[in-house]
Parts: sequence; structure tokens; C-alpha cells
Amino acid sequence: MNDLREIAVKTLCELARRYPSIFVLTPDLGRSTRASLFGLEFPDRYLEIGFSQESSFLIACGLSRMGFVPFLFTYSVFVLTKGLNSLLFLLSYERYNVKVVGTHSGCSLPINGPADMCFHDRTLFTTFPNIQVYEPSDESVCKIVIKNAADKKGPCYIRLSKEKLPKVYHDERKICREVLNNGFIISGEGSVLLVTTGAMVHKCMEIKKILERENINVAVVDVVSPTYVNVSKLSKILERATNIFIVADHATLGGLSSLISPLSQNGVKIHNFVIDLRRHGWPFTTTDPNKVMSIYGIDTRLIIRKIREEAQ
Amino acid sequence: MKRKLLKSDFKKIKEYANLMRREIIIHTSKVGFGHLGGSLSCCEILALLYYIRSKSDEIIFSKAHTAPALYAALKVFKIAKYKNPLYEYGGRPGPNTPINFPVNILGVGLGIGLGCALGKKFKGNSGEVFIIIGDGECSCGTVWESAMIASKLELDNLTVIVDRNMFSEGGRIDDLVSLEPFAEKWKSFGWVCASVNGHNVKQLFRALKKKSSTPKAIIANTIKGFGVSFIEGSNKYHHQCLHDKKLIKKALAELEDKK
Repeated sequence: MNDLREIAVKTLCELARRYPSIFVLTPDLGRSTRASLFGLEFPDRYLEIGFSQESSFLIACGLSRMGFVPFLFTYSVFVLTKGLNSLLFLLSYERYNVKVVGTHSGCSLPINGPADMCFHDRTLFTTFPNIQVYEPSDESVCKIVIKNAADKKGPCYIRLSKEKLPKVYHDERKICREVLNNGFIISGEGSVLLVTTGAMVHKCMEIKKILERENINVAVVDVVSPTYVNVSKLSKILERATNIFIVADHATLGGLSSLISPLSQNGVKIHNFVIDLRRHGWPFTTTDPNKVMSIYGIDTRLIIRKIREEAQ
Repeated sequence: MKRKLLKSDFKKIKEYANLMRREIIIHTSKVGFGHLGGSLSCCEILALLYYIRSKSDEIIFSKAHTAPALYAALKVFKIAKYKNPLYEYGGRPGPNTPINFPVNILGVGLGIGLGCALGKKFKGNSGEVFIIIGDGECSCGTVWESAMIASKLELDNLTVIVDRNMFSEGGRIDDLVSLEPFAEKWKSFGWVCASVNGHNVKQLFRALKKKSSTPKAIIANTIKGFGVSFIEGSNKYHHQCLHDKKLIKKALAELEDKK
């Protein structure tokens, strides 16, 4: 199990040893986003200002035009609420080269209640022009995404979960090629497609394994970057499917469903297992993220049952 | 930045400011929109900064709505060539504007300037960062967030010039939410602050060249719509331009007389 926040910061440390332009800043969230690990190795290229969320985005914009490649670490929910101004007006319209890393996205901090969860970030930022959105699903994808973000000029938003995630992919070269060429990774073959992203990918891989034992072939499509997807390739994959299951920790509208539905053929059944935002804000009786996810409408057992029904 | 200016330099700067006012009136009238009052009030500030700046200095124009003034400065100082800047660069500076730090909303210029000044420090670059902000945008929280951080980081290469023309869209700023005591506010945030006449180039220059170990704020007291008698001191032309041909002629004639 790997903490993607740590992987992201360690990858940045590796890059910073070679590139003196990498800079990390965070508004008083160094410990919880793990950005402080960068500060230990590169104190002269690390800045932790107070909880001035909005200003941290502006400072990053200023640094970016002085030849630095600033990575701003904060919670996804603050990117959405406090950073929206800068993301739309400066990063998107004016193309300031700032890399925003939002941690604690999705359902990953139930103990703090709904206020610290973030389901709308990916949905919203994919609609902003010029901003690349990435959502890594495991250690290797996270490394590729961070390296790609540092290499490529232009603003981006990287959505990370707080939950530790298992290693999903083993052939790093292959997935690197797929992420950079297509914006998505496909595993397996079958007429049932599980289209998913980020922290949901390993759950879909588990579902795939369980169903393979019952001779039900399932393919998992991990959409790493919705803004970067090779649409013609994805359409070809969707053409072969009879049933598409969308499993994602964000809402139907604007999320993966909005990407997949227009590309799918007529007659294909699309099942949404996404966050039911009508339940957002309900008091929880549990702090287990998995249980909270099922309250929101994403339940692994339910997905398996539905696939079995459709396969019959 | 240039640290010495002669009498002839001051005269030239005034001429540039006058030329900028002509440009502003012509271009806003041509397209039929533009914030005229606020554009006319900051001409001396912009003209002085573009005149004294060195290659390593950065000028950040935060009062985005008065972009016609910035475009006029870019033309007068031969940085940009354009036919119709408000269409080519946008009503507020867009990514095509030939400047390093385009800003299209209020309240963010100081934060961006802070990042720029910090970048200069980290890289060991000389040069200063000048940020022009409006007094209306000083009601934004981000201005004071950045003010607090800048003094903590001891950014002595950062100077803020506030175009204190006393008006924002809603009317007199001090009738809406008063900024006073304005200078004391900056001082209490750890800044050095001077209050000068924003149309007096000598006073502005004297305040600019003073060295300090902390960031510097200069409150430039200006008159909204300065230079054209029937626009001066009124908020009517906050986001309006001159449509009537007679008025345009009259305004241009007044500016011609001041040459």
C-alpha cells in the first residue's frame, strides 16, 4: 500500500535534484499534504506561508513567471473553494504555469465530515480551458503524472487521494506509454467495461479478479487524464462493450459519465456508480471510508451483483 | 531603476502622461467601452514607472479594469504596436498582452508581485517589482493577506503604488467601506508607507527612490478622470467612455492645451 502524497513529493525531490527550477509551496498544510518532506531536502526551494490559501495561488503565479515550476500542495476542497478565482482567471485564461496538487480528494477524510471531502473538483476543472487534469490511481501512474506535469509547460491540476492505495500496474513502460499517448489505461478484455479513475481503480481491479473466476470477462479503463483522452481510441474500445459501468468518486454530471455517454453506441447499457450528491452532508455513523462510500452509492458488492445479472 | 532624474526628464514624463491620456480617450471611444475615470487617474504613475524602470524591473498592473491606461503606456514607450488594443488584448489584459504578468481580475496583483519578488530573491536577481493597485481593490482580503506575507519575508524589492482616486463603482470608497486610516494600515502590516500627490511626478519619484529594508507602499492621491475638466472628480465615467463627438473633441483639445 502506498501513500500517493508521499510518492508525489518524493518524485518531486528526485526531479529537483536535476532541475533547479522545481519549487514547492503550501499554505500551512506541509505535514498533511506531505509537502514538508520536500522542504527538508530543499529548504531554499520550499515555502510554507500561513493559511493564506488564496494568496498561495497568486504567489505561485508570480514564481512561475520568474522561471520556476511551482507545485502548490493543498487540500482539493481548498483548491475548489479558495483557488477557484486563480484557477479560472489566472491559470486557465492567462496560462500561468502553476501545478496544483490537491490532496484529500473524494471521500478520503470522512472523520472531518463532509466539509473536507471534495467531489466537485475534477468535474469543474475539466471544463476549464488550458488546464490539464490528472488523477493517478497508483504509485507508478503518480510518478508518471508528476514527471509529465513538471516537463510540460502549462497549468495542471493533480487530484490525489489521502487513502493508501495498492500497486495496480506492474509494467511501468507500458502504462507510461498509454498514459502519455491515450490519457487512459486499459486492462483486460471483455464486453463489460468498468470505466473508472483514481482511488476507485484498485476496487475495480478487485471486482475484475472476482468475476474472472466466474468466467465473466471484464475490462477496466482507468481514465488518468480526462482532458488528455485520445477520444478516437476510447470510442473504439467503447464500441465493443455491451455494458458500461462507471465507477467514480464524483458526480454524474460533468464527471466520467459526461465523457463516456456521448461516445457510447446506441443500445449500450450505462450504469452509474458515482457519488450521489443528494446524500452529501448527511451525518455519518461511521468513519470508515469504504462504508461512507457505500452510503454515497458506491458499493463494490452491489456492482458485482449488477454485473452478474447483466452477464446472465 | 533610474535613481536620478533631471528637470528635462520630469518634463518628458509629463508629456508621456499627456500622450497616454490622448490614447486612452481615442481607443475607449473607438470601441465604445472602457473604464475612463480610473485610466486617466494613473497616467503619471505608469509613465514614471515605465520611464525609470531598468530591464530587470517588473511592473505589474493590478487594477485590471483600467487596462486602457496600460495599453497606452505600452504604446507610448514603444513596447507594443496595435491598432485597437481593447480588441487585440481584451478589455482587461489577456494572455496576448506583451507583458510578463497579465492580470485580469482585481485583488490579485499584489500576490503575484509577491511571488515575483520572492523569485528574484531566490534567484539572486537584482531589480525591483512595482505593483500598481487601485484603492477600490484594497477591500479585497487577498491584498492584506499578501501584505502580511510580504513583510514577514522582508521583501525590500517590492513596491506597491496605490492609485487613491477615492472612487469605485459604487461611489466614494470611504462612504462604502472606509480604508482610513490607510497609511497607518500599511504601516501596521510592517510596510514603509508614504502619501504623495499622484499627479506630481517629482513627489512620486522621491517616494519611489527611498530605500528601505521592508516592502514599500506609496499612496498616490489622485483625481479620478484627471486631465479632462468635465470628467475630473466625478464617478460618472467610472466604466463609461466618451461617445459624443463634441465631447471627444473638447477632451482632446484640453489635453492639447496642456502640452
